[in-house]
Amino acid sequence: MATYITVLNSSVNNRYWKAVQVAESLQAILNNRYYTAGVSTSFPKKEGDIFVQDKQVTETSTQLTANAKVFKLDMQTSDAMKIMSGKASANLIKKMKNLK
Amino acid sequence: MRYSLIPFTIIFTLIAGCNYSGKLTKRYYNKRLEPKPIDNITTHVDVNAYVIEKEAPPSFKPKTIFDLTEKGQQEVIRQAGINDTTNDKLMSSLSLPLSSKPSNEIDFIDYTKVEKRIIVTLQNLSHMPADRIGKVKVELKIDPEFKILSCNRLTTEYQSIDLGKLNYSNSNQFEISGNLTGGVTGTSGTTDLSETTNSNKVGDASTGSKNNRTDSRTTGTTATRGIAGKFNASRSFTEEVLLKQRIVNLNASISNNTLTLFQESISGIDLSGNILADIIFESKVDTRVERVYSFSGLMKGSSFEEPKDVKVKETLIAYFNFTKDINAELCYEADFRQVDKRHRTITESDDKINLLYGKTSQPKKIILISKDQLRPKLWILFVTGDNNKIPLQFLSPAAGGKGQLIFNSYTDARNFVTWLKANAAKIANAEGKIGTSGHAIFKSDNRNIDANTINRIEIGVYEEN
Repeated sequence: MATYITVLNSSVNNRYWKAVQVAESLQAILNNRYYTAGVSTSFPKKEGDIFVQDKQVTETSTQLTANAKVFKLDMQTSDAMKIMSGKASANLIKKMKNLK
Repeated sequence: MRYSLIPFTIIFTLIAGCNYSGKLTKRYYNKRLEPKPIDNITTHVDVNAYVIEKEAPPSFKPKTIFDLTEKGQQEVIRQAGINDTTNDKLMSSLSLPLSSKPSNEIDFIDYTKVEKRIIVTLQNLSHMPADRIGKVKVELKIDPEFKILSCNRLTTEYQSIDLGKLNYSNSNQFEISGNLTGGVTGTSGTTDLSETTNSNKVGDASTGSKNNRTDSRTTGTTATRGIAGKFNASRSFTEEVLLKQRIVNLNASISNNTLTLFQESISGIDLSGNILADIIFESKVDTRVERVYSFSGLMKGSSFEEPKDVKVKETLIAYFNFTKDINAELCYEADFRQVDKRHRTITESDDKINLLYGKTSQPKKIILISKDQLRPKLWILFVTGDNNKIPLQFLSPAAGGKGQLIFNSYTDARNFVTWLKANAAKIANAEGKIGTSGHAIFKSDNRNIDANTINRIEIGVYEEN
């Protein structure tokens, strides 16, 4: 399954993706209007990453709105989860796979 | 000369003498002046605008005991003596600042309302030294995403200029010397010559008496009637005029997101130069929010504090999310005083001029503020060798998750890195935990940090595009 991320417009040209939202489906990420300052995940950029559409997001504490872009990452969700959650989550995912 | 002309001559001379003919008071020599519209003023006047940072306000200096009055100092010493019983503690307490801005107060910094200094440059493009810009109106229409809130030049500034003293001294000396010589010489002569001859007519020869009367009368009248009038008028007239003029030095107005600046000049003064105006503008259309961190209590005397005793402060900062520069459309109209004749003299009173006026045919598009100027300078920590410079991550219980570890100042970042490297082993063993509020530092890929990674940390600029 693909990974969709939301990147604020002023971060789009960075060397890496700074995602303020991450979701497994496009619908899920479009339904989410909010992001929280200080909560983000950084993904390395890949050539297969695709721009999907623009959207607007609102910061939860300040209610200030920002324009953002949704990208579809050329990355499996499991890989993204590893990055998002770090070592502990990677271990958790591994355990869950073993249970299956 | 006829006698009747003399009084007129005197009167004319007197009137001419009283005529005030100081040339400094003239603006130009022309008898009539008709401003000439031209299609494009840009051939004579050039205007540009750009923005610089305004000087930072003076930093807050906390008051000490020496700022108090004598009675105040006594009271502070008395109060400090109650709490601190030893001399060392008392001296230490007295040397502390009496007041300082509590750092906990600032937890949100709004960079979306910014004050910038706009510099508008006026340039006279003429190569003739006598030509000058007489009046100018500059309009800056800023992008609609931004709203101009205020300008420090909204109060009209007038200026009185001393043009100098005009001393006018008039000395008339009128001398008329009329010498009228009128001579009438009348000579009337009557010569009566009467001869009476009696003849004896009896006989042929008769001798009688001979009576000759010669009456000569000469009447001579030589009248020399001279009017020797000498009128000597000597008058001295001195007038001292203090020349002053009030001009609009600068006037600013804001309307429809357009900043208008107006300036006019005085005789002999060209408007070439800079107009400075500080404007405050904001945009709430597109704003991003970041969480930045600062650490206090890193040092205990000369030694480093334990990780659990360090205090973490979180601050939200809001700034522009724009990916473009702030543009403005620059229009202007100007009066240009072009000297046609007699521009050799420095004074303008004898200039024969053409007064040209016009406006820009097309608005000039300028970058008022580059997008880099709209962002606060932020700092991150990354690991040497990471070409992407992905920042280290930080767990914030208040935020409810992990995000990038961002600093609002280089000093904060440097002090933290120094402390972090000194406590690398302890931090690694504690799985990156700092303080007692659940904060923790992680590698850029969100894995637990280790001592080797900590020792390879560098400070970098946040989001350098």
